[in-house]
Amino acid sequence: MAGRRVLLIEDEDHVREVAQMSLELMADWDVAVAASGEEGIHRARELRPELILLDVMMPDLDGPATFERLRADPTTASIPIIFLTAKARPADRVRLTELGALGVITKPFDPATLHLDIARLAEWPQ
Amino acid sequence: MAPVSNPPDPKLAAAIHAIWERAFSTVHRELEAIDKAVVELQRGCLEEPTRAAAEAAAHKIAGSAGTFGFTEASRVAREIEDLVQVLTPEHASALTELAVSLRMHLLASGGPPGAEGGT
Repeated sequence: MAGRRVLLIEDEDHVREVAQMSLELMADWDVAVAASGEEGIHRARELRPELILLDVMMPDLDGPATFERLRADPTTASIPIIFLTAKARPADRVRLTELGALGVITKPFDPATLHLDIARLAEWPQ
Repeated sequence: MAPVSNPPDPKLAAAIHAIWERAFSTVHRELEAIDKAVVELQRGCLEEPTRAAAEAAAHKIAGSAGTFGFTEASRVAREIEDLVQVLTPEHASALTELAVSLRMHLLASGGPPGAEGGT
């Protein structure tokens, strides 16, 4: 499972740091990061990651709006996206999945098993 | 969701501990935003910007504290997030208790549970 290229778009510094550290240490993935939706779109076009982890609540361009922009761009349209959200209600998860996301991971996540949750949703061999 | 109580990897535990120490000032600001809403509600003069700031702060803590092992703090913060969306003056006592509980769960130990042994 090592060597996956993932882009993490998350505005909260300490959450972003923990997620990046977790995926690098526990799964040996190559994790690029962005602190905003705009930066994330730029990084996605530049890096063409295998998968994007996208926070939902961000200032300016939020997760769903970032998702729509990524889907509308031919260079990023086919990249699988998993939402990260602290909204735990089933209705919120359904709304995000219906946008076309691969899945939803609820925050707080477990840093020891985050890579397993992602791999399961992406159907990557573990 | 199964927040870390005992990260199996010593390097990960140490990294989480270090990140928590850097995050401490941010968490303090979020607690202060909640406390400000408590005070204004107790005085009967809660302004919408204060309420919204408290909701945002509670949302952030709910979504992050458990990642550092503060499972109960995440749960309490989510209760606060839900409560501040429907606040009336009658909720002053409940919000006060939750804010005190949140502060206690986050600050009592001074560091993430389970990370102490990993450094």
